[in-house]
Amino acid sequence: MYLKIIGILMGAAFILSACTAGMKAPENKFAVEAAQRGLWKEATFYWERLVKKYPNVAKFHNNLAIAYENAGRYEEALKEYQIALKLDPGNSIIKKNYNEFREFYLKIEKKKEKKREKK
Amino acid sequence: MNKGKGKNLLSVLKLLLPICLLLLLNACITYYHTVTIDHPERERLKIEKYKTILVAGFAAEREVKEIKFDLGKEAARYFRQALRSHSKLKLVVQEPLELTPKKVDEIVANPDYLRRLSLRAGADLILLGKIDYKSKPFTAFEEVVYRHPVSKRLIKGTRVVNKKRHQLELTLYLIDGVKGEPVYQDTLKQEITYREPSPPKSEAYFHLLNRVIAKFLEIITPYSSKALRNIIV
Repeated sequence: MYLKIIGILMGAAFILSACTAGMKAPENKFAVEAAQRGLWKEATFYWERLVKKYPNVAKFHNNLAIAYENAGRYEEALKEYQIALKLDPGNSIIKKNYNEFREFYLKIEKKKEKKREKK
Repeated sequence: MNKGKGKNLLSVLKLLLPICLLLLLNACITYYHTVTIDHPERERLKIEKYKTILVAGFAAEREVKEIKFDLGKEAARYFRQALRSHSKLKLVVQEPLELTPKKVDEIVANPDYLRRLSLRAGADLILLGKIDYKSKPFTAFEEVVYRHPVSKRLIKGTRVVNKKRHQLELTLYLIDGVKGEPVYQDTLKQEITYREPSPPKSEAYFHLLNRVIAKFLEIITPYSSKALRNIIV
């Protein structure tokens, strides 16, 4: 009985660690450090590469969205957030980032509409 | 012999169990860092085609007894300072016009006059407007928490407090010197409330003016707002 439980746990642990190997890519660490230092162009470069390499990892899409936001590329940021949420709908961190961004994005869109109406 | 081997295996697996659990836990936890990001935004008015700006002046809508200086002239001086330090536009230095609110309306509706003014000053863009500063005392309820002198318990209550509300409303016109027509027009409002004794009106006026100027700069210079986001490691 003991043997079975331990065996299952070990299997699960190894499978999970194997699955998350891509997620713990060293490039992500570099990118995070670069972003923390304000080197957003470098960070964007790394995350764009990671997104191409691991298109199914939600956190890379989330991080890339933040980098796009910082560069004023709001439409691309919105797309990346949406992909991240699709991949990991239960992730509270992504949800929080997305909700705050959406609030800001809607404000911008309203301003643009007002401008268009004035014209 | 087999029983001994089985026991050994079991003890090794028992040792491995916490390691497996740690591995599982590590795989499930999300680590993140909070970073401050900028939201860059473009200026509201396309100013690429303009190189010089003239602050023609501001007309005060009303006189304030406590303030001894000219509200309009001080506003013009503050706007010039802000343009010098924050804008790419070259400032044309010229004495501000003597303006009244009525005259401002007349000037804005007179393209010929504006074109001539622009030519004389050598300015592509002209800034002028009306400024309305007012302050009003009022009473408000405020929540207080105090300790009862006898029972020593904390008690929540309300009390009436005297306050003063200072308001500044600036109607501004940015005029294209070549066409003599307004290219941008807006009303910027700011409000500040002090508890009595409120600082002097002149101080409140400058405080509000600084806020209004910050809003004005968003019209002619790119700006950014800060936000917090979580980067997942």
